[in-house]
Amino acid sequence: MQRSAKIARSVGALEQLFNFLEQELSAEHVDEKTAFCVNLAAEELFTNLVRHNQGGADSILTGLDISPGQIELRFVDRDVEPFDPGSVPEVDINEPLEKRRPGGLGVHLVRSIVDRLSYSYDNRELTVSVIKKRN
Amino acid sequence: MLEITFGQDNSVIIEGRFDASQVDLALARFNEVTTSVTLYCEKLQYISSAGLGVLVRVQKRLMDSGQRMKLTQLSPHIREVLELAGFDAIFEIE
Repeated sequence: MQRSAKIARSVGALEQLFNFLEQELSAEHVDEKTAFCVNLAAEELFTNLVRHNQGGADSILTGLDISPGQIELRFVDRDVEPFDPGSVPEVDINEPLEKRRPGGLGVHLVRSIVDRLSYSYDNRELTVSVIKKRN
Repeated sequence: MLEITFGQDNSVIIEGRFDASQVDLALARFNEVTTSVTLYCEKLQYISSAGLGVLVRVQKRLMDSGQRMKLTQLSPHIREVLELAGFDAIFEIE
């Protein structure tokens, strides 16, 4: 099943993003843990696009491809500069509290919970996608 | 939707979804915390790196004055996120 939605380029549009995911994941009876991971990956990638590509189009195209074995989540962002979330340096999660700095944790979480993270950029169109295998 | 309420015996109850759109609200509520507290997470359904960032800021502020925040009653999913972030070394988790 393939579905897509245009989500406004705003952190305030997260509710719209979550509602889209909830509707589609529920309809396909995706288990709770997998759905949690898809939600988390979606928020981290979406908010990264919002923050890094503020001059882009008004909305970000969000696609979901749910098959019996896996879920592919895809964001297509138009009229933006390149930004590969996979290039974000790894955070050291063993750093003590006083040395912790903001940034990088979201991409670290995405890398940890999904099975594949992909990125492409062509003609000012950025596509970032993840694949999460279903439990 | 996120709710943070203050209970008795230095308890703080957090409910709902702690995503990036809730950061300002959460920071405002947690700014009222000035002593050691236990954060009850039984009804916390979701947390992202934005929510984790708020918890770290609160913990840093509290520890600067010799206080701390302890987390309890986490769901398995929330606990896993905290562990992936290395927060089990920053917070006492019951």
